[in-house]
Amino acid sequence: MNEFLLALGQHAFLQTALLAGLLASLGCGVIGTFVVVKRIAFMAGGIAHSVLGGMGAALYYGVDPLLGALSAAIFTALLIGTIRLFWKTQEDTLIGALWAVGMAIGILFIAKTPGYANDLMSFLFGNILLVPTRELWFMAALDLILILTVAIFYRPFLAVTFDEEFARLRGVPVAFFYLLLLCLVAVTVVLLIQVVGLILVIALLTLPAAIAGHYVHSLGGMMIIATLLGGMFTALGLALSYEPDLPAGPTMILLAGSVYLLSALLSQALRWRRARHQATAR
Amino acid sequence: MTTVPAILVEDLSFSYGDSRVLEQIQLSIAPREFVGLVGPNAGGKSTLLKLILGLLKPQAGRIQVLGQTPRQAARRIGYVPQFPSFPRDFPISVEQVVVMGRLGIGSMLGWQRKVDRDAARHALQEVDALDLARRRIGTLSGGQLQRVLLARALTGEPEILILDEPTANIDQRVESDVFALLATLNQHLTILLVSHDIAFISDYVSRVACLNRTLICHGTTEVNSDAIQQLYGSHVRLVAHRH
Repeated sequence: MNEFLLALGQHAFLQTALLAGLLASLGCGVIGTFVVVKRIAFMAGGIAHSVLGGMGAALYYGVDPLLGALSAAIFTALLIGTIRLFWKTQEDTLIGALWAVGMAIGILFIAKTPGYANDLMSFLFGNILLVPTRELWFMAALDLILILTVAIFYRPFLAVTFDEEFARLRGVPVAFFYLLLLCLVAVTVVLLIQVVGLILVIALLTLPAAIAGHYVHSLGGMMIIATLLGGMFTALGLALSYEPDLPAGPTMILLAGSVYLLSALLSQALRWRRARHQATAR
Repeated sequence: MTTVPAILVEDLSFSYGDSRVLEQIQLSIAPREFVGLVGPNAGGKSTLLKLILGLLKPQAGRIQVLGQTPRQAARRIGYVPQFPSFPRDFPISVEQVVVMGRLGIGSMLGWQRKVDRDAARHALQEVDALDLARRRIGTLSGGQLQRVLLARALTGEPEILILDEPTANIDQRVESDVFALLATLNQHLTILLVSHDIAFISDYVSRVACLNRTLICHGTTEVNSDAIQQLYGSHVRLVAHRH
């Protein structure tokens, strides 16, 4: 750990990596909370995996892969959202199909692009140490878009997340806000792919918010705690992986997964104790 | 000039796939009427409510609510569902749930305003549930939740109140409290109430509409064994009881 702190002072790439992790945790806290309470983790997984199609195509045609990722994520979000809203019966099958088809398209493009085979691993599992400094600005801009949108539309978002039928009766344009929410999920996925890659995205999107949900019972509170937890997991994961030279992304995920497991057990134990205390109190 | 009916249903029919649920429904509810809608399960009660609320579109016939289409008028209706259409473990307080009933009044953008919070607390007080304001929605009992849902409907300043089986999970003492409250609200609101318990609601309502695919209206004094047999079939016995 000490070695990491020393190196952090010396190497700009480590500072960039740390900042990238912290920027990503803002998205994972704010949007991850919606993903958890609305129970759309499977949809988020579909969006994340189909992003490979956009990245592959962007590489093949020589465009910035991040732009490819962002457009593929938004396209899939709108497609999945429309299916969910207007064609409910086959929802899970169709998401599963998009999930796999997106990846297949990406892998075909990457196979036909000369010299990029090594990048496949960093798309899939992320490489936070290779984030270029200019991408920090891109990430910061995405964060700003996320936070502004959620702040301006907080009440309709809450209504659509909580009770779609009632929101519709109150004149909230439910389809619009549902699709907008999925687009924000898409933007967050692209943010997090920088850090942990598209396969592991789903863990950072759900685990911090789920842990927060064990202890706080308001959406705003969950967002704040999940952001702090996300920041802790990315920073600590980076630090722990540095000395033994482990890949940073999987270290972060294992850390988040272990804390989630412990927290689930702890919160259950606390609930039992409280219930017993209530039952025996005089 | 005649007054515009609060709810006007003309020649309405509706089917799910092959099964016809509603057939040639005619119903006109005047402002400040208190109408009870009764009928057996699967008789089309919830479907008729959904059509009046604009959640479903009529396939034949037409519906007008306060002189507008159901979609336009939805915000002027307060709706209390039989089963909450939200997950009970959602991290939200009772007060925040009730505040949501204010959506559609003023702008939806930005943070919640103090007037909305005050209106929510006032509505909670009206249903005698102000002490629950800070509780998490998932910790309420069935009866408490029902009152909170009523507060959410009232806080939107409705002109019509529609309740679907509001007393299904409530014990009798609370039930008569709820009906006393509805009787007070009825002084300025039109009320349409769905119930399976004809004998009980006939003490309160001005008119009973009996729905089993087709709809027949009765004044409360006319609900007798003939009407009930026609509605439920011959095996039902009418037991006269007073509470």
